Order: sequence, then structure tokens, then C-alpha cells
Amino acid sequence: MTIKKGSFVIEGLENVQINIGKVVGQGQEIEGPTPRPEIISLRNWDYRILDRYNPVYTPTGDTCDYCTYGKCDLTGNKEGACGIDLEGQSAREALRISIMGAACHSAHGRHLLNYLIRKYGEDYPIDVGPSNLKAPLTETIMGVTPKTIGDFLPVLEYVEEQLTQLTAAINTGQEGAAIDFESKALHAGMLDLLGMEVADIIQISCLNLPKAEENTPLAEIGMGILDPKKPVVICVGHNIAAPAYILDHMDRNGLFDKIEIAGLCCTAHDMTRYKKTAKIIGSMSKELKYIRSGIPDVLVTDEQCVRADILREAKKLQIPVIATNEKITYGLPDRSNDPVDAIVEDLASGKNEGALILDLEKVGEVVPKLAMKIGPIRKAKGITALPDDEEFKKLVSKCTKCLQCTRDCPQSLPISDAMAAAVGGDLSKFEELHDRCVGCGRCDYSCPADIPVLNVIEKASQRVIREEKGKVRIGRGQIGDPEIREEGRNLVLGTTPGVLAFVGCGNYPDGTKDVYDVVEEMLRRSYIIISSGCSAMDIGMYKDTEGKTLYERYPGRFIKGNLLNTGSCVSNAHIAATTIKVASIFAGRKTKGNWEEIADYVLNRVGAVGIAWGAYSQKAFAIGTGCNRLGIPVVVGPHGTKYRRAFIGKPYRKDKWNVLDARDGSVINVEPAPEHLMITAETKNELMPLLAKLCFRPSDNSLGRAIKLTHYIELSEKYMKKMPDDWHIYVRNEADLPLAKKEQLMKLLEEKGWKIDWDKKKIMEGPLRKVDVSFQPTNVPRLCKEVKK
Amino acid sequence: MTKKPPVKPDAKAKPEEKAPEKKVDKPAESTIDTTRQAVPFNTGNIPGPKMARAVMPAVSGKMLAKAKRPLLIVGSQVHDADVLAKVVAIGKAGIQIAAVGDAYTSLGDKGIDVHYANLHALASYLCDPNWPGLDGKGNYDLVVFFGITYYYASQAISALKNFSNTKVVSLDKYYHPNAYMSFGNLKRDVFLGALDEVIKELPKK
Repeated sequence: MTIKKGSFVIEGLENVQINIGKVVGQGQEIEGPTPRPEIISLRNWDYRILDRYNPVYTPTGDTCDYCTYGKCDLTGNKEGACGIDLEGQSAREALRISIMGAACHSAHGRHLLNYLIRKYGEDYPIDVGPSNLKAPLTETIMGVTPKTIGDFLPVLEYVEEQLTQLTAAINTGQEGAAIDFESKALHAGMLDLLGMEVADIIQISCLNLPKAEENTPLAEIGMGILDPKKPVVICVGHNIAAPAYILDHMDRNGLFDKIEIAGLCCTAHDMTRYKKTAKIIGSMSKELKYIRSGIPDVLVTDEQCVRADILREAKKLQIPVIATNEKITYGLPDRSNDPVDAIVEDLASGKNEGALILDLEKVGEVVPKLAMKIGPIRKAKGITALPDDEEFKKLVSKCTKCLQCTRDCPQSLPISDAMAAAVGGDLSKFEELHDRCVGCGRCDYSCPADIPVLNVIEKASQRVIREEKGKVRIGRGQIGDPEIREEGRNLVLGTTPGVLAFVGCGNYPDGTKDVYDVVEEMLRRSYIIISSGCSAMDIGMYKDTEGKTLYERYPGRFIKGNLLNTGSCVSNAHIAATTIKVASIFAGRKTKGNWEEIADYVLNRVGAVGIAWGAYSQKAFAIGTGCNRLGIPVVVGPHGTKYRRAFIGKPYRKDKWNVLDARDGSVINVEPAPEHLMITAETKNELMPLLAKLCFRPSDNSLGRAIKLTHYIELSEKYMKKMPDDWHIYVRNEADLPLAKKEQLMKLLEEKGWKIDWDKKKIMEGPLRKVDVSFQPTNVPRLCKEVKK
Repeated sequence: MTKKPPVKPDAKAKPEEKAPEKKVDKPAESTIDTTRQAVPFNTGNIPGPKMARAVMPAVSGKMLAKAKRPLLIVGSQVHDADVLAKVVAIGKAGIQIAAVGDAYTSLGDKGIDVHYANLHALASYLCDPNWPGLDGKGNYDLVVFFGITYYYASQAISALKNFSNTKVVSLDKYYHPNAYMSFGNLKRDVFLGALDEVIKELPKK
């Protein structure tokens, strides 16, 4: 007899009704040792990776003020009153940041899940496209295969319970060892990946977002794409629930020709995934800039990456703000139960500066009506924060070159130089700054001469802003199983040089163009580029000499030399999950409840690297930390040192680079591959060869290793003007050498003391180890068939 | 609660006037004062109670000259010809150089002892007493640096400040609170002049 979910009565027992809620374990077979891992279940794995990739702490502050014993001075790794030292405190901060990020994504998932279950019911089926492994992270962590959106309820309950346990560990008088704070931070990172997967799978399934589609359509992106003469609605944040209602209302009422609607930050991605006619203004860096332009007539906020001052900024320009999510309410009156027309009237008349509306259907109706009403009023007034030409001249001439703006600017931009040039009529320096400026507005507060610096930059950059029109491929969601089957072998053997995932935010050290430049270089070299979030947007902002963006030049299949966009921030889960799919689909590894084995496989065999070049938020740190636990190295830009913790390998410690051969348990000393798990680079020139190096894996075959070495050497020569110092340690035999440079490299090896048989063109002596095509590297002793003593 | 209006710096006050008093070492005959404006260049970069002592260039130069195994770290801000010339001069005086970021692109052909390193990794290795160094001869007893992206350098040396015994002396154009000793925030000509004074203290090769 099969027990099914539902209610039934038993004949003869009229007063008895039996309700079956959830049937647990039906058709589920746990395959690994750690389904639903508790906060120390994967501690052994964490210890293994932390032993090789040591946490490196770069504190921003040397004190601790967590409790009333303090402030305690921990300088020089002293202990505070509670007994924690600076190392422990720094690790505790890493845990705190990871928890914040994981909570943010998981709460996003919870909001969506509750809303979608109310709308579609728990039994609404999951549909993510051509995949048997529909929820790789959920399977690997939870040990279950979800089939309906209701199946994700226990998943989020698990995440929430674990995050509570982890948060408890932060309290004074709890955990004290840095290594265990880090193990817990890795746990939080893993939970973050899980929360993101839930959020994106349910929205893909219920809202019919693209389902692992290769070549989704292109969406318009840029500050210059909207017609400012029409009423303009801008949705800001990450959660599609409210914007979906607005788009539906506009669709039903034929308003797309009458109203311009676009998004800022990840909500924009999901709007285009939901309605392909929606548009994208850009990343969070554009938020303040676009508001100050005065073009938006209505601002709709949901959650995440929304500026804390959005209401104050909007109020100055008479732009009403509609808050639609419980997490961001700005002290606005709750108008959820008021009539639509009354809300519109109060906002259009200026009686209220904004409204909190949690009835999303009502949001869908209010926003277009409000835009149609207030748009013409605002346009007639010509409201903008930007100065006119005369004011601009006066403002730039007020600059005293005190450099206070530069000192407060996150990028230390040479603003006073641009002011001086503008006095003489040269705006080119300001135009350069527009790209490098992250739009934070700290310069406004710092200027002792009261120059509204950001407005001046934006006024001077109107020419480039008008031309800012790019294209971004709409987020595709997961990578489908057929694509993994086709490409998995190339990845594991190394003949595809690597998968590079460009993710995260726009706090770039030197402007958005750097991301474009790096991606273009690596695409030419046949790396697979997967993008998401604000990075995916910025990649589409620039064009080649023929006027084409990278998304127009490179197709979106998961094969070498292709450029993919998975979608919004929560779509990052699919990038991490792709490595699980490779382990499962290509290598037949069991997934359910089997995190350690999967992560071990990824670390040793899948040449994937994450790049968060402009990471700024706690979410980005949590994503990176989750990827690290899955065995994926991550590189962040120089601002990433302000996250205060990295995981850096020490190649000179030979004893840290031992792995086991799973065939017989023998210990093999291997090259440092991958060399680091989380590290920064200072410039894009340094970044590119570093990426190539981090794609090395012990499992590379000779052809794959030769391809990877080719790129490592070429990128280093091109961008660092030198052969890498350590190229030779990745050479195991002559077949590993790039063919075009084989003889030259063999000579260099001979100079290093290696023995070469020049008649046979063979390396006789020198390499750390030989190539063994059957080598099965692992860091987990229980995975060895026979453990050698 | 109403929002408190932001407190802005006084337009008439020069930043120099805001610098708190600090203990300084001033040789009597120096022509360049590098101890003024000894406040973190990035306004919010205040790490804690222990911040760098502002020093004159001769003090830094003497420390560098006396160190048994010094290392100069330079980064992506040294491509400027005038600054580069100072790096080369220090290198020619026999100081080993770690070129972080993409600094190597301007230094590789200058006939000096220069090695590429990733700054984040280098900071980690410098905290390890068993690190064999860039040349296999062991770790360093003194690190001096300049020409690295300001906040990046500041974060990297916070690791050394708190987790190593290595002394870090900033020769940078900007005040670095996480260093043991630092110049104040300098104008370009003062900065170049200060480097000249440091170089004067180094043994001639």
C-alpha cells in the first residue's frame, strides 16, 4: 500500500478523519554520511581544507566591543576580557559576516516560498528545465530530492535552525577557537548556497523564468536606455515578487508603451527573466546616480542592496517610494489595507513621501497608476538634482583642492583634478570618473565647500550617460544535464582550461570596464565564463568596435568559449551546483547527503574559480565561503581584504600538499593545485594569470595541463611581463609542456637542474611526480579502496 | 528622531591643522618634514589604540640601512617614472624588492633583485617564521613599502602588525596607521624628496 498525502475517512468510523501531511522518505535514499549536517558534522572536512588553506586575518579594527567588558584592545593578538584574542575575534567576525549573508539569501527564499505557496500551493511541481538532478545543493546537503515547492519547507526550516545555532556560537562566552569559528563560517557559507538554491528554483518553477535555456533573449541595459519623457518606474532590490505584479498589471492593461519600467540591481535580472520586455538600469553603483538624475517618477523597493538613504534622496526630488517588503520599511505608513485610489492620491499630491504596501497585488495596481499620475507633474517641473550649466561652472570653481573627497572616496578618485579640468571646460576627466565611481555619495558629505560632488560628476558625464546602452543575456537559471554530459569530461581532464564565475557586486577597484576586459580575454582563451548578479550586468555594458557587446559575440551554452548568465544573486547557487552536477552526472558520484565526497571531488578535479572583483556585501562573502567549502577557489578584488579573512595556501610547505590515491590509499605529494581558496589581487593584470593558475587541478591529464600551462604562461607574459616563477612545479613530464614552447621550456627546466634527454626530448629527472592517467586524488581517507599504512 | 545634520570639515581649515599631536622623531638637520598630517589618509581607517609613529625620512632610512634582512614591497602605484626611479635606486642599494600587483611590469628589466608576489599571500608568508623568503634565504626582519593601493596595503600590513614580529615601516605618500612607523600624508614633491632622503641613508654599492 502506498501512503499518499491528503485526508481520508475510514468506513465505519464516521467521526474519524485521517490527515497525512508530509510523507517523509518516500522514494528517497540517503547515499552519503551527512544528510542535514549539524554545525560540526562536516568539521573533519573543514579541518582538512583549513590545514592546507590557512585563514589569514587582516583586521580593520584591533578592538572588540561585543560585550560590556570592553572595548578591549586586542592589538598584537592580545586577549580581551572574555579571553578571546584577535585571531579568534577575527574568525568570529568571519562567522558573523557569513551568517548575515546566508540569512539574507535564505530570508529572501523564505519570503518567496511563503508567498508562492500561498499563491500556487505546496504541491506545485518543481520545473527547472532538462535536469534529473533538479536541486543539486539540496540533494547534497539535505539528502532528499524535492519534487514540489512544498518540499522546500523542511529545507528552509533546516537552514533557519542551523543559522540560529551558528548565531548562538558568536555570543560572548561561546566558541573561542579560531579554527572552529572558521568551520562554522564554512557551514554558514554552505547554508547560504542552499538558501539561494531554494529561492531561485521556486521562482523559476512558479513564475516560469527561463529553465536552463542556452540562448535566452538579450535585455537592454544602461543609464541611457529609458525614454525620460514617459513616466518611469524603477524597481530596486532583489525580490521579484512585487515587480512581477507590476509587470502583470502593465501587461494586462497595455501599458508598456506608456510607461518605462526598469530595475536596479538583481531585481532587474529577475524582471527580465519574468517579462522579457523589462529593462535593466544597472548595478547598485547606479542607484544613487539614477535617482539623482530625477528620471524615476516612482521608486519601488523590495529587499537587499537598497540604499539606506533612498527615501531621503527620493523625497528631495518628489519621487514617491513604495516599500514592498517587511525587511525594509523606512518608517513609512502601512497602506496595505487602504484603497488604491486613496494611496495614489496621497502620494501624487505629496501628502505622503512613500507608502509601505505588503499586499503585492495592490502594489501591482498602485505603481502604474501612480506613475501615470505623477509622471507628467514631475516632468513639467523638470525636477533633477543635477546642476544646470551655470551652476555647474560655479560649483567646480569652488573646489579648493583640499582632497577631503578623495580621502573619503572608497576608490580614492582624483576628483579635484577633474574639477580643475572642468573649470577650463575639459569634462573628460569627469567622464572617466563616472565609470570608476561607485556612486556612494560620501564625497558630498565630505566636501567642506558644500559642492554636491556626485551631482557634479554626473552632470559632467551626461554625454557618456546618454550613450550608455548595452545588452545583457537574460538569466538562464541552471545548467542543464545534457550540457554537463557534453562538457564534464573536458573540465575534469583539463582540456577546457577552466570555468570562471564572475559574480558579485560593483565595488571594483578601477571601474566596471576591468570586468569586461578580463572576461573578453578569458573568452578568447576558451574558458567557460558564467556570470550572475551585478557582474553579469557590467559585462554587458561595453561594446567592441563593431558595436557588439560580449553577450552578442559569444553564445550562452556551457561549453568552452561561451558566456553564460545564470541570473540574479540567488542564481549564484546554480554556478556552485554545476560542479556538483559534474561530479554526479559525469563521474557518477552519489550526491544525497554526501557533501564531503562531492567537495573533495570538486577540489581535486573541477577547474572552477569564482571571481567577485567588486564584492562589497556580506552576501558576497557568504557565497565565497560556501564555494570554498565546496572546494571552489575564489578571488576577490583588493577591497576584499576588508572582509578581513582569506584562505591562503603555502606552496613552500610541501607537507600540506599531500593527497591520497583512492585506488590504494598511497600518499602522493602533488603540486599546489589549487594554490589558494580565497585570495585577493590588486589589479586586473595580476588577476588574469592568477585565475589561470587557480584552474590547475591534480587530476589534469597531460593535454589539459599543457593547455592550462599555456594560458598561465601567456597571461603572465602578456600582463606581468614575465614568465611565472612557479610554472615548472606544474610540469610532471614533457607531455605537460605547451607544444609551441616545448623546447624553450625544456631548456629553462635544464637551467633549473632538471635532467633532459635531448635525443628523446624527454624529461628524465626533476618533476615532483609523474603523470598517472588513472590517478584518483582525494583528501578523504575513507574514500580509498585500501588504505596503505 | 530627526536626522542629525552631518558635521562637515571646516572649509577654511587646512587638513594639516586637524592632525592630532603625535610622538615624532625629528632629526635636526632634515630639510623635509614628513611628520605633518599624520592622520589616516582614508578618513575612517582608524584601527585602534596603536597607530604608526610619524617619522622623518632619515629615521626610516637608518632603520632600513641597519636591518639584517629587509624587504621593500611596492605595488601598482609605482609606474610613474619619478617614483619608479626611487624604487630602482633602493633596489640598486641592495634591498630586495617584492613587486606586488602589477608593479613587476615596470621593474623586471631594471637589473635589481625583484620578485613578483601577491600581496595577500606575501602578508601571510611574512607572518610565518619558517617561510624561506622570496630567495630561499629565510624570512625578513624589516618590511618597508610604498606605492600600493592605499586601502589594500593598509589591510595587508594589519596582518603583520597583529600576527607577526616583523616591523613594518611605511615609506608611502600617505599615513598608514597599521605600520610601526609612517610618513604623514605628503604632497608629491615632498614624497619624492623624502624617498631621496631615505636613499641617502642606504649603503652605496
